This record gives sequence, structure tokens and C-alpha cells, in this order.
Amino acid sequence: MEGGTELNNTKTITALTFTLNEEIFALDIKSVKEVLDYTKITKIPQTPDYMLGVINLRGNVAPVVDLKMKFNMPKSEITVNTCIIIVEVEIEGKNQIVGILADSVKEVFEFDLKNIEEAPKIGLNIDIDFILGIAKRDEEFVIILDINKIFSEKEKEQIIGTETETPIESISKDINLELGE
Amino acid sequence: MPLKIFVEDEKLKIKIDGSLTINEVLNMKKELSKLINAKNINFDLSEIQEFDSAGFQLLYTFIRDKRKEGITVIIDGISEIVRNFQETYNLEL
Amino acid sequence: MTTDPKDIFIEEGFELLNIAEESLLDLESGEQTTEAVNNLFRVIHTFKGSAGIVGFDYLQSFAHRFENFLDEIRAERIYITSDIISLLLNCKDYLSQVLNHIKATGKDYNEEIKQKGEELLSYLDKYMVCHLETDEIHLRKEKEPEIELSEQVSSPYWHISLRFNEDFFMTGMDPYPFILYLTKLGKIVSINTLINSPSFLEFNPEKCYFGFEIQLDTELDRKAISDVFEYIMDDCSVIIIPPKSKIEEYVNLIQELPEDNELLGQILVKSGAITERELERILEIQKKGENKKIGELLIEKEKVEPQIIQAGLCKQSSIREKKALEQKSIRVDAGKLDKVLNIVGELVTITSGIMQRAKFIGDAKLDEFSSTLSRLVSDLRDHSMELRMVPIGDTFSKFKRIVRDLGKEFGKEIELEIIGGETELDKTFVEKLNDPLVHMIRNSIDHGIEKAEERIQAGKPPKGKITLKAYNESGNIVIEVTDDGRGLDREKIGKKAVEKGLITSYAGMSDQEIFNLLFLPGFSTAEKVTNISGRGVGMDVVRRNIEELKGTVQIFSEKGKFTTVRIKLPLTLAIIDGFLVEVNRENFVLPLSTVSECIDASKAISTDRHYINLRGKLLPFIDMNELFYGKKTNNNNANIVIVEYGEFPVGLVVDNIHGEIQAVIKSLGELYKNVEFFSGASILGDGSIALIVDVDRLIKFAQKNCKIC
Repeated sequence: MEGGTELNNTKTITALTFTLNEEIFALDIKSVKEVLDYTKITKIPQTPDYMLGVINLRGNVAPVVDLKMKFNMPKSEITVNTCIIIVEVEIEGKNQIVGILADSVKEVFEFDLKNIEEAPKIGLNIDIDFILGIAKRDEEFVIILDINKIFSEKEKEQIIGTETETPIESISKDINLELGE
Repeated sequence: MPLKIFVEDEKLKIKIDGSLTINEVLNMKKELSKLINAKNINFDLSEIQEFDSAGFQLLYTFIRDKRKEGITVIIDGISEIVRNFQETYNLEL
Repeated sequence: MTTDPKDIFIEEGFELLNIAEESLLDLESGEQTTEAVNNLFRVIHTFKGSAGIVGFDYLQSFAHRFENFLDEIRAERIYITSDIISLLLNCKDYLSQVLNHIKATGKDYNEEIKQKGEELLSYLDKYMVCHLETDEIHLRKEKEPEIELSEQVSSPYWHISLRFNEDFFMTGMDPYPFILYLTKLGKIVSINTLINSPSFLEFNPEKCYFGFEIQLDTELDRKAISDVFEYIMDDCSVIIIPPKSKIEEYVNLIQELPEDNELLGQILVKSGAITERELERILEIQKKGENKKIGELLIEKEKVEPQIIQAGLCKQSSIREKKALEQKSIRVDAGKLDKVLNIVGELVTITSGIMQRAKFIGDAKLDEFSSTLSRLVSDLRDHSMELRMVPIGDTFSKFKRIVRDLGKEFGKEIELEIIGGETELDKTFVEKLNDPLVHMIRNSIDHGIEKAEERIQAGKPPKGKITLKAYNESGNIVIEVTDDGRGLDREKIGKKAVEKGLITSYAGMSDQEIFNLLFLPGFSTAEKVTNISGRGVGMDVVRRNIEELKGTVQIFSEKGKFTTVRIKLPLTLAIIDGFLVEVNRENFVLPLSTVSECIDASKAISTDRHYINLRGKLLPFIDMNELFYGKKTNNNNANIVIVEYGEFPVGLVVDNIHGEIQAVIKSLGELYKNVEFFSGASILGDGSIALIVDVDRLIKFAQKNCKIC
């Protein structure tokens, strides 16, 4: 099994399974802090769409991301089943709490490493770097995600690098006219 | 105090027998003080049986001064106890 | 936060070194010389001790030799010259370098560090060598001039020096068995027997003239050796000098003694440096009226190493200091403090929620309770904020060194004046202010202050002056760096800016506007690039740093007279007084300090231009709906909030205004680290989130997006 180094150390991996548009994903339970019901997310203007905004997590501010948009999946409605999975990831060496929007959360399941296969190079919309491996469970495929990679430096630069539209060109011109006089 | 002083081959020979301790040093000093004119002095210490630091100090001072005056002082023989003192004090007479 | 002793040591170490530096600079300026030397010694001594405790042996050994050197100075055996001060400053710098190395690698040395350390030590030794023999011998001159002291100082063996009273033989005793007995305790490495008898004729053979200098190799301790002579103590003088390693051991032991005893003698006995009996004897002598301190007597009579006495004295004073200090302050882990502040922050939030709710319910009693609660919480907030406040004086004092060093380097004589060092500000500020201040001071020394000749010609005193000043001003902290140098030259700056293509013409610009050009990235007026400043990363970096602290920076100058850089900072980073506004049904907080007034926005909404006429003046404005959400504000209740941007006002069009609030600032976290114009978020009383707007950046963002500036 060469899929991911982290898999080689143990015989099983315990993961929380959840759905995004009917597809089943899983996250190593070690990085999951808690699961919250959907709550109002405050969008931060002029940030990429998939960064949904921030929520009040017991007096602290936590960002929430929509993996569907990141994985190029179609958007879906917020339902009673919609959850926010709070995970702890490492970003630039600092531990950071991040919320992940999920259509529903299913169960915690122990996967036998023998049943986990490397992600196929083609056929998936998701960057295979984000995938630890693919397991089969009850005739369904479960995509086990590598959560730290998703928030890795490379990815983050893409987020930040996103230049936003500038609907305000004319304002600023005016301001500068003022400055010049 | 068994002290023998005699001249042999034009050398002044001094032989001390038996005991040279704090008990004898005063008299010994008197005797040795008499030997003013000697040019060469040979000591025979091989028969000293009782010895202490006072004795050592006396011999040391006498020999030191004589040598300072330019007189040749030679130790012909030495008993075990005197040797022990020499070695312990790391000081040759 | 950390409780790792090594981290604590590093932190404390840096503090100690700062004090050391101050003392050195005091020394140089000739202020309170004795006090400064003592201070310095104490500090390095403590440093050494701490280094030893956490196991940085190399560091400890360096500090030890440093300390020895200082001891020599203290004993006035080495006289302080400016060379020596420079050398000592280098040593101090070296210690900070080692601390940094530890911080980075966890180890206290590598080859490079060792090499540098050796080099410094060899310099120290140069001064030491010429003093060592004379003074050490002076210390022990009375009876045994024969001892080879320089050798003995570094000897790995015990040294026993014996002198017998003249009537020793008369009491029926002999040195011989004692010497023999010593051979049973260990190996006699060398013995030098001295018979200091007078000439044979004057010689009294019944008197004892014996003396011994013995080097003994033994594992036994001082007491065991001393016990050999227990019964003849009154008939001879015995001096026992421990091996070098033992001295260090004693010094270490003394430092590590549990701190309860304030008596020097007891400290020394406990460490084993002297025996109880030796102490008794000294106390006896002291009682007999020898008007000397125990330490001095021990050195004189018992030949206890001055180093050991020193260690004891230091221990003694550190115990006293600690006892005194313990009553005045306690050291608190900054992390714990932050936790408290976080909770206070939440308390502030929830209290404003309760206030609102109480108003809504309209119960008089509840109203009363809630306003009392609010007052208490606000007091609690203020007091807990104060916990984080530290005086800026320590930071200011650090610059004495920079001013001194750079002044020397540039051949300029400069005095540093510190005003308002007691002004307190948030610890986070203090840390982050360091770099900008260094930049500004460097600029002053490099570009501001003229050479002495030039100053004399200009009718100024030859010695330049830099003033660091801190004070509180209406809820802000102001820090000013002023030099009495040549001032800023508007022509020069203007030309340079044109040359660099930063502006097209500077005609008609006010002085203030021209000075502000200095803050543009890539601007440097230095005619030749020095290795200190003038690399084009100067004031723009300063400005960025200050802005990160939500502060502002301004330059004032008069040509030929002075330049002042003024930094204005909020009192604290954690809570701001804010002004709550609503845009597109989301709440935003504007820092209240930036808001000057609110006006009706109907005029602005009805125009396609982005400025309105406000009392005869043009007011440019930004439509927040447009900037944030790409759609124009369309709301009859809309307002314009007028904020100050540098020197001119800018209007922000918002849907609604909710008035003043106390906003607890929460970080947006790593993911949103590079968000352009929000400095954080705040949680409102109802649990919802309001983003805190960084007004300066917001306006700059608006400008940048049209790529004009």
C-alpha cells in the first residue's frame, strides 16, 4: 500500500463518514473535534466563494469552508441534515480550527487498511493530492480525505491569490483626484 | 648521646648512633656548634635508630648552613628511619 | 505558554542581559560606577547559575569566566577603560547570541559559537593574566610566598598549606605522623617541606620551624581533610584550598542551595566550602573585635577562595532580593493572562447582550442590576487590560546601546534622552515596536544627526541628541523619536520621489505630504547606501509595522533643526471602542477613533459620482455595498459615516448605523490571514459576528483596485 505514508503505520483507520452531494467521504477521526448543526455563517466580503465565512464557535471565531466548491461539485441546498464538521488542521505549522460544511454526517467507521486502495489517477474531479485512499463499504465507495493537504500552503496561495473584481474603479479615481489637488 | 667525631683521610667524620630526637637535639646542637673549622664533613647516619622531625630539622639546618659556607657535606650512610623521613618530606639532607 | 525551565531560562536570560547592558552603559557614562559593577556582576552571576541549573554547561562555563573577570573589576584589580567596556559588551552580545542559538536549536553551542567564545575568553585572559599573580599572592602573602599561585588556581588537586607553631615539638608532637596520615587519605601528588630555621647558631633546635605545601589527590571532602588536623588546630595553621573543580562545585552548590538562609557563614557551611569549625573560629575572631566582615575574614584567615565568598554573597543578596521582590510582584505566565483576558472579553460581550435584553424587557430592577453588572465588567476589563501593560522604559533603555554603537561607527557623538519611560503599554506592542524604533533611531543617527564639525558650523552643540518620548494622549499612546539633526529637506525628498517615479511633480505639495512620501515603499534619500539604513526598506516597513498594531505614524520636521517621527497607538489590541454599522444585513465595526460624523446618504445614493459636496467641500465616498457585494446601496435610511483617512475625510455609505459598542477583537485565523481590510471579528451580544473594518486598508484597497496611486 503506497497510497499515503500515514496509512502504513496502523492496520486500521477510524474515520467519520459524511456526504457531499450523495458521495461518501471520510475524515480521520483524529482530526475531528466535533459536529455542529448548521448555523448562520458570516461571509467575509471579497473572499473566494468556497470560503463560506466565519461562525461563532463558543465565543471564538472559526472559518467554514465548502468542500463541494473546492471539489468542483454542484452546490446543494441547506437542509435539516446539513452539518458543520469542526476539524483541527495544521496551517503553516499552526493548529487551526476549521469548519467543513457537510450535507449529512453518517457514522464513525473503522476501515481495514487492506481494503483501502490508492485513488485512481483519473475519473475523479478532486485533486488526488487531497485523497488518502478509497475504501469500499457496503458496495459503496468512500473517499478518505487528507485534511491537512486540503489546507496546505499550495492551496492556500490559490485562495489568497484570487484577485477579485473591482466594481469600484470610479470611486477611487475620484478620491485620487481629491488627493492630487 | 652517642656521637662519634673523628678525622679520617683529612675529612671530618661524624657518626651518630642510636637516637636523635627532640630529647637529644639541644645537646647535639652544642656538639655540632663546636665544629667550626672543618672543610669537609661526612655524616654517617646509618646507625640512627630513633629519629623525629626535630632531629631532622637539626641536621637539615646544620647541613644547610655548612653548605652555604662552602663546606662539602657528604652523607655516607643512612638508616632506614632517616630515609623514611627524607622520602616523606621529599627533602634530602 | 511554556513552563519548560529552558524556555524560562531563555526568557529570563534575555532580561538579565538587558540589565547587564544597561549597567555597562552606566559604567561607560561614569554613572554610579560601583553600583553598576555590582549590578553587572550580580546579573552575570545569576545568569551563570541559571544556565547551570538548566544544564547548559558550555554557556555556564563562559559566564563563569565572564563573571571572574567582572570580579577582578569589582576588586579594582582591573581598571575600566572604554576598550574593556567594548569587550564586555561583546561578551554580553555573545551571550545573547548563544541564547538565540539555544532558542533555535536547543543546544548551547556549536563549533562556530565555541570558536567565538574562545576568542572572547582569550581577550579576557589578556587582561586577567597581568593581574592574576600579583593580586593572588597579595591575598596570601603572609606566610607562604613560595606557593605557585597561578598554577594552584587551576590545580585539579587539593592544596594543603601547613605551618606549625614554634612550640609544636615542646608539646610533644611531631608533624611527621600527620603527613604520613595524609598519604592514607589519598595520593600526595607533591610535597614541599619548608624548614624556615634561622642560621644554625641562632637556631633553637627545640623549636619547630616546619611548614608544608602539599598537593593531595583525594575524593574526600574538605571536612575529612580538615579532620586530620582536628587536634592540632590550635598549634598550627592549616589552609585547605579545594581543587578547581571543587571551587566550581561549591559555587554551584551555593547557588543551588534551597533558599532560606540569609547568613553568609551558614550558606558557606552548607555548601561544604568551609567547615563548621572554621566558621566558629572566624566568628570568634569577629567577636574579638576585628572590624571586618565574615567574608573578608574568611578570605584572609582561612584562605577561602574569593569566588566562593562571592557566590555566597550573591546567594545571600539574591535571597534577600527575592524575599523583597516576592512581596511586590509575582511572575505570571503570559498564556494564563491571555486566558483571563479572553474570558473577560466574553464577559464584556455577554454583558452588552444582557443590557440590550434588559432594556427590551423594561423591568426597572433588572435594568438596575444589568447596569451595575455592566459597570463592574467594564472595571474588570480595564483592570485586566492593565495586567498586560508594561512600562516602555525597558525597551527605550535598550536603545542606549544602539545609539552608542552606531554613534561610534559613524563618528558622531550622540546622547539619548528618554522621557516618559514609565508610560505603560500592552506587552504585545512593546515587542512589536522594537523593530520600527530601531529603524527610526538608525535613520536619525545615519541621516539626521550631523557630524560634529557640521553641527558647530550650524551653531549647534557638537553632541547630537536623540529623544525617545512616550506619553498618553486621549486614550492613545504616543511615542516620539526626535533628533536635533539637519531635519528633512523637502526639495531633496521631492526630487528623489520624482526621480523614482513615485510622483510626477511635487510643486504645490504641503510639507506634510512631502514627508509622507518617505513612507512609500522603495524610497530612500540616503545619498550613499550605508549598511545601516538607506537600503530602501525603511520608513515603509516602519509604517507597515505600526499599522499592524492599528496605529498611525507621522513625520514632523524643520529643516536644520529637528525631525520627529510620531507613532500613535491604541491602548490595547484586545478590545476597541467601535462603531457598529450594517451593510447588506451584515454587521461591521468601524474603530470609533476613526469616525468623525454621520450624515444622511440620500445625496450620495442619488448621484453616479463618488463624491458629494459637504458644506462646500468635496467629500469622496465609498459605497460599502458596492465594495463588498458589488451592488449599489439602495436604501432610504442609508447613512454616510465620515472617517478620517490620514489628513482628509472619506465617507462610507452604509445601510444602517447602530452606534457605539465595545468590540472584543477575535482573530479571523490563519485561513483569513491575508484578508485585505478586516482586522478581525467581534461577537455581538446576540451571538452573531461583526467584522471589524481596518479603515485605512479599506480605503487603500479601494484606491489600489483602480491602480492609480
